[in-house]
Amino acid sequence: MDSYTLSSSSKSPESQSSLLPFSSSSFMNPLLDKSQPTKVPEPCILVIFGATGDLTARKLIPALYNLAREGQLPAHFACVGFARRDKTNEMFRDEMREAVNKFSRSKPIDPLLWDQFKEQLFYHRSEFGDDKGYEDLKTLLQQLDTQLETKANRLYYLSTQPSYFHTVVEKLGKHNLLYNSSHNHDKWSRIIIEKPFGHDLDSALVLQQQMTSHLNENQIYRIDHYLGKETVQNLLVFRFANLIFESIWNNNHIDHIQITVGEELGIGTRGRFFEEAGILRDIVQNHMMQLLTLVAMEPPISMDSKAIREEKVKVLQAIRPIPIENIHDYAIRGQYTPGFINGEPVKGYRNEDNVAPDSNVETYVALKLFVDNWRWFGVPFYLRAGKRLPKRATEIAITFKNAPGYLFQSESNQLDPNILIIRIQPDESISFKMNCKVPGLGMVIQPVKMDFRYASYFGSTPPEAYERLICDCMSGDNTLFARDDEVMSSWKLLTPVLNYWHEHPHEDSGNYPAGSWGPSGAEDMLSKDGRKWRLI
Amino acid sequence: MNPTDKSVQKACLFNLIVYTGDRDSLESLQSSLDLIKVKFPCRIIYIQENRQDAHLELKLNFQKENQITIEGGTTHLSKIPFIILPYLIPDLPIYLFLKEDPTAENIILPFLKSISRRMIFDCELPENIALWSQKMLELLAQPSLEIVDMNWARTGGWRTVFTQVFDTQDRVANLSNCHSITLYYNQLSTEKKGRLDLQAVYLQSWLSSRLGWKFKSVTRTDSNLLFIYNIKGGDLSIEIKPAEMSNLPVAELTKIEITYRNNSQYTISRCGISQVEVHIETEDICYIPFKLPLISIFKKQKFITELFYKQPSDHYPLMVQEIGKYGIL
Repeated sequence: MDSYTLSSSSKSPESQSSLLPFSSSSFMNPLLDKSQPTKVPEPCILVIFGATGDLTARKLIPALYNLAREGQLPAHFACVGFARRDKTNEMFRDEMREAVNKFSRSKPIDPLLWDQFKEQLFYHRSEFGDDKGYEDLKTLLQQLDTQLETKANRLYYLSTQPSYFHTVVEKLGKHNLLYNSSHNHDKWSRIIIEKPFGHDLDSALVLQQQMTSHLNENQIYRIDHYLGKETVQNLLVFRFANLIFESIWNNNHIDHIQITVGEELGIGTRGRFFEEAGILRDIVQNHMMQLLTLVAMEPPISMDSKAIREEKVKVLQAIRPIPIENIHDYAIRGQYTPGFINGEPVKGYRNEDNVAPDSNVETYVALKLFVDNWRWFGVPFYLRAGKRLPKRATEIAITFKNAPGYLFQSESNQLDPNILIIRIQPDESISFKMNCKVPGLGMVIQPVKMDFRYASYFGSTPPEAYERLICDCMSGDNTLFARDDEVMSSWKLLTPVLNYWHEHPHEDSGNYPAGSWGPSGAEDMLSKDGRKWRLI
Repeated sequence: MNPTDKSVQKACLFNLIVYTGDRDSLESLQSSLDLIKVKFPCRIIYIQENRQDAHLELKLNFQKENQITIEGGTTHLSKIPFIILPYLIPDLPIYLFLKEDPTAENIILPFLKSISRRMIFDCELPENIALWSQKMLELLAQPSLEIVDMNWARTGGWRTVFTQVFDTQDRVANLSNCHSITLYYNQLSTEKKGRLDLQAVYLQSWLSSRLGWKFKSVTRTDSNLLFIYNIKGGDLSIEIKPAEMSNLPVAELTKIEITYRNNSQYTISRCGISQVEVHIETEDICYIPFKLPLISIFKKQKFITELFYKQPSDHYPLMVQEIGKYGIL
């Protein structure tokens, strides 16, 4: 299981600094201002497989529209929706206009801009496995190249069920819709795939092999939209543009770290998907591991995508394997039962649509992890993710060790540890809890918080994660996309847990009422260490 | 805001000192300041020099939303440093916004420049453009002060359009050897005084500085300017002409026509505030016209980014150097 070989992501025409304009040729345009660190997306055609799905309407097309609004869409660009339903271009454009009207971060829709933008949207009907459909697609793309000067650059977005990834990639390869990046320097083809990338280590390896039989690693962009969030990107700036934190960012000063991804929503209409996945696959394996790596990584040698991703992988490879013989001390699962959210009764997981009445799928996970390197040895990283928790909150809380309390020993004084809280969403902020003297006679100490709230300082609506990510992909910048070894490392860590849980079905004693912070086992996991989960 | 409480701060990103000697600009400036304040909380210190009444005593006004206005005559300007220093929020950047020529002699400018991280100016250029260019280049050489020229920023959208249209080696090479360029600027009948062709002048200077055209001469006829450059294939003429386009601010570029010796033509026409349409006709092919967004810096987020965060462009000093060759314009 350990002997997987992954393609290296070094020296490729596709690897470029995120701060330099990318050009797949050696032509340096004298009109281009290289002192301005803006990405220059290249002319291309974006083909969205599964274009009639939710993601296209809610995220992808609104993201493209806003990129167009900001002048970040290439001048020569087209988007082709590829799906099974029967539609004309006009029908697709009308539907997408509605979607943009509803889901775009900028409203109202600009009619002049929309009139121009919609001319770049096309629809192609086909089954994912239909060879003729791909030949017709090729013809369409070639016509668009001539018409719109998109230079034969291709971006394929697989917004489909993971079970179709292989089929689509294989067909694209078979019909010469993918280029070998080593031989083609004047045009490129890239694939964006959404998580989950496989459902365990073995399936991820198989999928990787299937992909790399048609593509180089540098042509594969594994999207994790958390990496496109402003607050997540700010983690790098916060850590590495502020020297003060670096000297205390280690096991000498930090007691433990809690990473929480809480959602008050249930699984909604995703019952079918969730029954196959569970929250460990849906959120922990990807989003939470990304947050952990960004918190724990060493300073990279540059802001180059390769340098950053190298450091992230090192963290993943340093995480101590979860001992299966003591799994209950390190991995807790739970499932929500009927309860209350915001005072309203909600049903339990087993009563949700498309969920088996005796389902054992976990909707809550808590993990205790250790990163065994010089910086972090002995510092527990507590991760928890859950559906139907009391509130929606994603945060990283770094609890520092207690100050020696002998100076302020008194019955009424209990020194709280300092905590640095990085709130990813909602109410994006960074706050620091510290101890202060209460004005008055005596030496009464009270914890207070210093706050930086994004909304107070930067009132504008930041770009959506997908805008940044799609723009990066068009520019050839893969910094914010997961690399193959990142994905495999996290699967390697979590697959034994998944296997154990599969063999040992979840017991109802691990359930938790919706609206609570999770099962009691999760509290016990920390209380054994003399710690508690934060009440967010 | 309590006028006696200098330390009162809201969430604040920077100090902004605004200085102008032109009372007429107050109205246009206030709308820009409101745009800034809505999105980026900051402390604004607005200095209005009254040149009509030079002996007018300085008067302070404390307005809501963290804005202080100081108005007074020229003879009292030397007191300004003592007045504003206590009101600057410590540890935050200080930006200076000038509605004045930054190269002009002024009693207060040296002090304001010395405390500022970045100076943004928006003004007419003097007639002696060669002298202005020389002084600007000296200012630009100072490493401690970043300089942003709003006239240059206004051409940003067109520069981006050029980069997107002329995006291959062949197209750039052909542009370098074109025969004539005509730039049209909006001169809708207006009471606005001053040079309306400045954006056009800047844009063609930028092109010439990037493509290595050698300046030969410039002549002005009424509202038209004619530049002659020496290029590889002979002479290139660049003409700047007025046009009229309603629903567009004056001085904005409305159209650019580029003609080649083989009669190929590129036409980039404004269609609305935020778009251009590009028509390309060569000897053999008439390309399907396409549209490009024309990014205006006066959209909220872009405006702030342009003023306070965008790195000064490497192209700008070369453009200023180029402009200096025009002598008196």
